[in-house]
Amino acid sequence: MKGRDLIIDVPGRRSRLLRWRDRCLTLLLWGAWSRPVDALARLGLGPFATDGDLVWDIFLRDLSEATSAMSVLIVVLCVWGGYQRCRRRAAARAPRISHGGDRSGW
Amino acid sequence: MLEHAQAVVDALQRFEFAYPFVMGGVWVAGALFFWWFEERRAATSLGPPLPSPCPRVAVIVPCHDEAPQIAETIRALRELRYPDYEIVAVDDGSTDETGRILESLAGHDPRFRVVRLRVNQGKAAALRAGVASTTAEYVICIDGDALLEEDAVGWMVHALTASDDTGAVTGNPRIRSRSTSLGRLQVGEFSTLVGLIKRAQMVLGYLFTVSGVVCGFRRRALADVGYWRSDVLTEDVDVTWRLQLAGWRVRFEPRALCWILTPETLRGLWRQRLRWATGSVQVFLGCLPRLLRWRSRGMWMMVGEYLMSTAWAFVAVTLTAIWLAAFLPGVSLPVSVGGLVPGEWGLMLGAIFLLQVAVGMALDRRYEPGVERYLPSVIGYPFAFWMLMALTVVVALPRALLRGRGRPAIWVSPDRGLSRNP
Repeated sequence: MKGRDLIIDVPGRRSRLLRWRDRCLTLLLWGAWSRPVDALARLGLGPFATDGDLVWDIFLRDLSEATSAMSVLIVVLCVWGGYQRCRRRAAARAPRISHGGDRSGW
Repeated sequence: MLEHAQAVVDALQRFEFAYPFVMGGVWVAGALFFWWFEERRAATSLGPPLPSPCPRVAVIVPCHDEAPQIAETIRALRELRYPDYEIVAVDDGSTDETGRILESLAGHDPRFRVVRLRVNQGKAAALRAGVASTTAEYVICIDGDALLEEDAVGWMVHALTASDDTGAVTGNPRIRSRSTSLGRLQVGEFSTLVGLIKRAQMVLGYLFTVSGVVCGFRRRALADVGYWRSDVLTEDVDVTWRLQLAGWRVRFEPRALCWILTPETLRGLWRQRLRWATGSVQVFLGCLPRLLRWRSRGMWMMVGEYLMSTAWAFVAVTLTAIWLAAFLPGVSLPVSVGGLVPGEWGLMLGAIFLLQVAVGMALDRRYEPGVERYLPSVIGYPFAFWMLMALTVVVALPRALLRGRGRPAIWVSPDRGLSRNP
C-alpha cells in the first residue's frame, strides 16, 4: 500500500447535513478574510485615504515591536540550535562512555 | 478607571494578534533551520540505513473497539520492510468484534501475537501490557486505525539507534480522512503546522510530544521513567515530558510515515481536542515540581511557549466574549473590542499564516507529493481552529484541576471520519 491509495476522499457520500455544514463553513471561513483583504485594498489606495494616519501609526508601531520580538526569538533559536549541533558533534567524536539518561553534556 | 480598563483591553488585543504573528515567524525559521541542517540532504528513496545486526523490534497495537479498521492495520504491518519484528496487538476489553478478528488473524502469522485484557483499562495500561509481553529492546507503538508505511519502522529504528541518549522518536502522521471540510482542514494542520512546529522544536532540542499514533521507544528509557501513566488523558505528552526530564532525547523522524484517521464531525473534533488540552494541563501540573529544578532548564523555553499559548487562549476567548456581549440588547459595556478579525493585523496574521502553510507544504511535499492541493481548505484554519483550540484550553483547565489524581483514563471509540465503504 502506498500513500495515495490510502486516502479516503469520498465527498459524494456525505450526508445532507454534512454537505450543508461544509458549504456554510467554507463560506464563513472565506468571508472572515474580508476585513484583512479590505485592509490590503486600503493599503493599495494609500494609508491616509480613510482613517487618517493615526491608526496606521499605531499599527506600524505595534508591527515593528512584534517584528523585533520575532527577530530576537529567531536569533536565540538559531544560536541555541547551532550550539546544540556543535555540542552533539563534539560528543559524537568523543569516546562513547556515557549512556542515555545522564546529563553529562550539560 | 474606565480609561485604564480600556487600556488593558487594548493591550490584550495587541497580544492576541501579535503572539501568533511572532510565533508563526519563529516556527518557520526553526523549521527551515532543521530542514537545512538535518533534512535537506537526507535520502528517502534508498530506504533506511539499518544497523548491523538489526535489533529486534516489537510493534505494539493497543486497540479498543477497532473492528472496522483493525484487519487493515495488521495487514499493513505484515508488509513492513524490516528484517526482525513481531506484532503485539493488545485488545483492551473491546465490546465489539475486535478480539475475535485479532484471534483469527493471529492464527496465520507466527510473528503476530494477541494480548487480551478482559476489562477496558485505557491506552496506557494496554501499552504496558504490550511491552511486558515482549523482550524487544525497541518498541514501536501505533493506534488501531493507523497504517504504517513499509519503511516507517526502519526509519524509527534508524533514529533510535543514532545515539545512545535517544529515548523516543515520533513519526510523521498523515491524514487519510479527507471527505469533509474538517478532514481537509486537518490535512493542512498536520501537513503544515504540526510538522513545522515539530521541526522547530527539534532545533530547540525538546519536543512537546511524540504523536501517540506513531512513536517508538527504547525499552530502557521507558523503564527509566516507569512506562506510561494511566491517570493522564494524554499518555504520549506525559511520557515525552518525563523522558526529557530524565535526560533522554526525543526526536522527530519525518520519513517515518503513518496514515491515520481523524474526526470529521465537530463533536468528534471537539472531544479529541478537549482531551488533548486537558491531558496537557495534567502533564504540566504533574511535572511542575521537576520542571522548576535548574537541571530542567533546557525545557523552559518549550514550556514557556506552552504557557504563553495557554494565556493566549484565555485572552482570545475573553475578548471574543466581550465583543459578542456588545451585541446583546440592553447591554452597555465600559470597554469595547475593535473586532474579531481586525483589518491591518488580520492582514499581517494572514501573511504569516500563508508563509507558514507555504513553507510547511514545501517541506512536506517530499513525503506526500500533491499535498498542496489542500491549500484552499487550509485558508480557514486560523479562524476555525484557533478559536476551537482556544475554547478547548479554557474548558480544559478547570476540567484538569477538578479531575482527581489517580483516576484512570479509559478510552472510548473516537470519531474516525467517513469510512471508504458505504
